[in-house]
Amino acid sequence: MDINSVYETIENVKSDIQSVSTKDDLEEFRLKYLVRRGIIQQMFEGIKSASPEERPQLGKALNELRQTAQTLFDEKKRELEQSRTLTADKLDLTIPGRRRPIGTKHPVTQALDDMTTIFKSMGFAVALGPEIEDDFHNFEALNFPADHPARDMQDTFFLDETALLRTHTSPVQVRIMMNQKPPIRHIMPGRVYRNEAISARSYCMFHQLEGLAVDENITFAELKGTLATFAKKFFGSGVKYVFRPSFFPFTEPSAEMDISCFLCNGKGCRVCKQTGWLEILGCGMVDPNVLKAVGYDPEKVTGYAFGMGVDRTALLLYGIDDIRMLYENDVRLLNQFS
Amino acid sequence: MNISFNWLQDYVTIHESPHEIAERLTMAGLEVEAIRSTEEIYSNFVVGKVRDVRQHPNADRLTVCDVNDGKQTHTVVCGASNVAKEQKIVFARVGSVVPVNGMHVKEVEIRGQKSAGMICSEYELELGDDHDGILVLSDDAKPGMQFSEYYWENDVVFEIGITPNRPDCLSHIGVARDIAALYKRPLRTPKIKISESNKPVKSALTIDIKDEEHCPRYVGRVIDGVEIGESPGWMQRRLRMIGLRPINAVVDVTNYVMMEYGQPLHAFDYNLIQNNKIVVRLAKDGEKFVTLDEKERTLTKRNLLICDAKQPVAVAGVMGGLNSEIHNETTSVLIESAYFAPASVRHTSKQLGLVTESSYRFERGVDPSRTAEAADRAVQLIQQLTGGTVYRGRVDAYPKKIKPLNIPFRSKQVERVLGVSIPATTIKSILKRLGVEVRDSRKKGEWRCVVPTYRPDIEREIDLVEEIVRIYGYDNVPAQETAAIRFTADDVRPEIHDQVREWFVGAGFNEIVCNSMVPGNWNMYTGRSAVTVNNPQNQDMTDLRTSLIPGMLHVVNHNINRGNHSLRLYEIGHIFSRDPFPGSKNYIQNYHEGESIAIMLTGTRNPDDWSLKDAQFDFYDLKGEVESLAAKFNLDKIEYNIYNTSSNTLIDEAVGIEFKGVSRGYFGKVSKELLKSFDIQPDIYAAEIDIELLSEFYRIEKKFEDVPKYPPVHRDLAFILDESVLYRDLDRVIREYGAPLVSGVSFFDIYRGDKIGSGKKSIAVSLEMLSKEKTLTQPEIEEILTRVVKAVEKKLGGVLRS
Ligand SMILES: [Zn+2]
Repeated sequence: MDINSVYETIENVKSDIQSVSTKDDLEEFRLKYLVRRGIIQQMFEGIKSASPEERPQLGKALNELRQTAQTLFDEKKRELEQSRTLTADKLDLTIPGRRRPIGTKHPVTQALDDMTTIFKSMGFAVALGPEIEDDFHNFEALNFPADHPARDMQDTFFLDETALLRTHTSPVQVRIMMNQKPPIRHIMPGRVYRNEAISARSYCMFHQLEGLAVDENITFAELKGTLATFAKKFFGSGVKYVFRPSFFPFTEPSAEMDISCFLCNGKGCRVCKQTGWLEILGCGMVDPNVLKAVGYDPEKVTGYAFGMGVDRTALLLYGIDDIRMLYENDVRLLNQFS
Repeated sequence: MNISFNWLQDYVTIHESPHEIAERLTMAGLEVEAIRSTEEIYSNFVVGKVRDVRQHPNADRLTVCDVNDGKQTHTVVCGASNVAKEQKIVFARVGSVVPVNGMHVKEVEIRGQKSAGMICSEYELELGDDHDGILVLSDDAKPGMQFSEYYWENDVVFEIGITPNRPDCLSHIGVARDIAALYKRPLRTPKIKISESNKPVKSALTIDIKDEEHCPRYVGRVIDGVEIGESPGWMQRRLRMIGLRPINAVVDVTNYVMMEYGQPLHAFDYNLIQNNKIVVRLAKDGEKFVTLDEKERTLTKRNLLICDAKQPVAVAGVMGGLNSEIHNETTSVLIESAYFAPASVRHTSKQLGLVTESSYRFERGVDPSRTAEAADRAVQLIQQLTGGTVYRGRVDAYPKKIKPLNIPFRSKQVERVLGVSIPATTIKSILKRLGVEVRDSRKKGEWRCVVPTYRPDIEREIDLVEEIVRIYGYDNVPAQETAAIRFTADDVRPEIHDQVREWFVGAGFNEIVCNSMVPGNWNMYTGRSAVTVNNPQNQDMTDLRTSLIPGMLHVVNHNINRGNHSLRLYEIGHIFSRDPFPGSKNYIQNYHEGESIAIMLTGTRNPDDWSLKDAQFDFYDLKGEVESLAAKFNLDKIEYNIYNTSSNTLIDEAVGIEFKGVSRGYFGKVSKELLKSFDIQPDIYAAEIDIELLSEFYRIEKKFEDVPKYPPVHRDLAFILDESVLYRDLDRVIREYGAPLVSGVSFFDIYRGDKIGSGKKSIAVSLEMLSKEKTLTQPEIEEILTRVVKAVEKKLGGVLRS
C-alpha cells in the first residue's frame, strides 16, 4: 500500500458520498468505509507492513481519509434527516391539513349579538315577542290613535281587520309592561315588517333592537347617557353624537340620535350624504299615554325607550351596499363573517 | 315641505346664512333634509344679449348667434325660430348644467360651426313647458347678471321633513314662527287691506253646516268682476321655487295663501253655485261625484261633501268638483276657507286613495283661529291681481267654537322628566316665545298654560315639557353616564338562541336569514293552513311561511347557480299557521306562531378535507347532526320514528322527532317534487325542529356520577337478520339481555350481499361491557355474549355470523 492509494481512496469517498440519496445508500457507504471491516480500517491495518519511514506520512494521510469519510457521512446524514422531515416517508408537511368547515352567524345576527352584549353589560335583560301582532299592541297601546297621520309613518302588512305583521318591536314593550311591574330594563331584538318597496336601501322586513327602561327617577339625561355609552362601545370611543328633536307617538319628548360618520370621520361621504352624520336610532321618554295603557301610573314612574335598525347598521359596519344581499344568503358573503 | 328662504323673510328678520338656519331648525325638530340654492342650480347661467343672428351655413333651421354675456361675446348655434338681434336672453355658459335634464353644456361643433354655450328656453330652465322657443327677457335685463339673481333673487329652498305632530309648520308663516321663537325675534304677519263694496256678502251667500262634528267652521267670501289671467312674476317665482306649477291668478292665490298660512283654500266659480248656497253635509252611501281630476268617485256616509242648493261641488278638504271649477271665463269667485275635522278628512282621503296638499294639511290639523284671516288674505290678493269687487264682510259659519286649551303645568315636571333643572324664568320665556300664554294657578307650583290653536299637538303637561326642551336645546341636557339600577329576582326563562347558534358555528354551518313572506305555493308541502297577507307587496309574498325549508331551498338554488355546491345551512326563525302546531303559541286570536330551527346539508361533506374530497352528504350525516344537537341539549328522551308524510310532503322517507308522543320535528331527504319546483338537481338533506324542544332540558340539574374505576371490555358481534328487523330492535335486545354489564352498544357496519342471501342483512355492533366492582374475567364475558346471542336469535331470528 502506498500513499497514493490513500489519496485515491479519499477521492473515491468524495465521489461515493455524491451518489448517496437515501438512507439505504448511506448505510451502504457506512458499511463500505466506516465499520470495523471497512476499507479504511483495513488500510490502517496495512500500516504495519509499511516501512518505518513511510509510516508517519501514511498515518497522517489515513487520518485525513477517515476524517473526510466521517465528516461527509455526518453531513449527509444530517441532510437526509432534514429532507426526510420534508419529503421522505410520504409526509409532505406543506400539504394543507384536513380542515373542519368554519361556521358563521349571519351578519345581522352578529351585529345584533354585539349590540345585545353591550346592553346586557349595562343591566338590560332580553325579551322576545310574536311577529304577528294586533292593532292594540302595535299601535293603539303605543298612542297611535286610529285615523291619525302618525300611522302613515309605518306602512303595514295586514292579515285581517286587526291582525298585522308588527311594524316595530315596540309591541314587545307593551307585552312586558302588561306582564310585570316596574322596574323594567329590557332590550327586545326581533324581526319587523314594513310594506316598503324593495330596493338597495330598503327591504320589506328588517330587524330592530328596542330598549325600554321604566322605573322611578328615569330621565332624559339618563337616556342620553345610556345611548352615548352604547355608541362609544359599539362604534368606538372617538364617536361623536347628537340628539335632535323628532316625533314618535309612543315617546314624548322624542329624539333621533345621529353619530359622526365612521366611514369618513365626519368629513362627509356618499354614505352619510355629505353630512358627516349618520342617523342610527330613535328614542324618547315613554309617553304617559303608553304608561297608562299598560296600567302604570305616570305620576310614579317614568321611562325611556329607544329603537334602532340592525340591518342598516350592519350594512354600514361591514360596507355592504345593497340590503338585498343580506337576504340572498350567498355563502361566499356569509363566509366572510366567520 | 319646501320652504323658500327669501319668502320666509317676509315674516321674520334673518341675519344668518341659510345653512345656519337649516342647522338650527334641524336641531329644533324641523329636519332640513336638503338645501338647494338657485346660485348652485343656475351657476353659469347669465343674462345675455344677442348681438347678431346669421343663417347657419350648413343647416336651414339653425342660426348662428353672437351673444354677449357681459364680459365677452360667444358664438353659439341656436335652433329656436324666435331668436332675434338685440334680445335679452338667458345664456348658459360652457360648463353649466341644464337644470331640466342634467346635460353639461360644452363647446361643440354643430354641422361645421363651433358653438360655445346655449340660449335657453323656459323648459330648459324649468320655468315652464314651452321648449319651442327661447325665453326672451324684458329689455331692462342687464347682460352679465347671474340668472339666479335676475329671476330668483338668489333664493334657497329647504326641504323640511315635517313630522305628523307639526301641522303648524306646513307653511312659511309656521316655519318663520319657529325661527322667531328660536332667535327671540318678532313675527310679522301680512297686513290685510281690502276695499269692499257696499253689497253685504250675506246677500250673495248662505252657508248651512249640517254636520258640525265634521265641519266646525266654514268661511266664505265672494268677489265679483274678476278677470282670470296669469299671476304676476313674483308669485309664479315663489310657487315655482317650492315646486308648484302656476295655473291662473285665482288658483295661484289659493295655493300661495295655503303655503303662506297653511290654510287650504278652495275657489269656486260663484256663478256655478246654485241658489248662492253652500250646504255642508255627509254623503249618502253610493253617492257619485266627479272630482277636479275628472274621476268619478263613489262616496259613503262617512264622507263630508260641500254642496250647493242642488248638488255636491267638492269633497270637503280633499278635492273640488269639476262642475264648479275656476275656468278662463270665470268672473265671480267664491273663496272657501274652512276647518274640517282631521279624522274625517283622513278617512275620506284614505278611502278615495286621494292625497292632496289640502287633505294632507286638514288631516294633520289646521289652525281654526285663522280660517277667516286666510280667506281675507286670498280675497285681498285676488283683488290686487285681477281687479274685481269684493262683497262686504264674510259669511263665517262657526257653530262649534274651538277654544285654546288651558293646561295645568307643574314646572318641576321638567326636571323630573329631563333630569336637568331649567330656571322658571327660562321656561316661561320659552313658552311665551312659542305663543303659549302662562297664567298663575291657584295651586302651588302649578301654572295654567293657554296653548294657541295652531298647535293641536300640545294637549298635556308632557307636551309642554317637550316644547321646552326642544327650544332649550337637547344638547343642553347632560348625558348622564351613571344610572341607579334596581335589581329584580324575577324568574327569567333562559333564551337558548345564543347556545343553538354557537353550536351551529362550531359544527361548521352558515346561518341564513330568509323572508317570512313567501309565495303561496311554497306552503303547499307542509299540510298546514297558511296565514295570508291582505295587502301583499307582490305575488311572491302572499303567505307567511309554514316551514323554513322552502325558503332554504330557494337559498340553495341561488347558491348552486353561483357555483356554491357544498352547503351546510341553518336558520332560526318564526313560522306561522292558522291552526295550532307543536310548539306554537297563540298570541293573537286565529293565528299560531312558533319558532323553528332548520338544518340543511348538500354536496360534498367537507370540501376542506381532502381525504373526504368526494364523500357526499347522506342521510346519516343529517341524522348525526340532529342527534348531536339533541345530545348537546340533553335530549336523551326523544324518539325517532317514521314520520307520517301524508300531510307533510317536504321530505321523502322522513324521520319524525318525537318527544312524549308529540312530533316536534322531522328530517330526511327533501322530496323530489319539491326539489323540482326549486329547480335543484342534487340531493338535499333537511331537518326542521321546534326550538322549544331544545329548551325543555336545557337547564336540567346535573349530578356527578362516579367515573368507572375498571376499564371496559369491547367485543364485536355480527348478526344476520331479516331486512324487516331494524337496527333499533337489535340495539334494544342487546341492551335488555346484556344488562347490567353491557354498558354500551355501537353500530359499526352493515353488509348486504351474496354471502348472506337476499332479504337479509348483516349488522355488526361493538359491545362495551363494564363492571363497577371489578375487572371482568373471560368466562364472565363469554357468558354475557352467549346470553346476548341467544336472545337475538330468539327475539329477532338473528344468526351470529362467524
Ligand atoms: Zn361619511
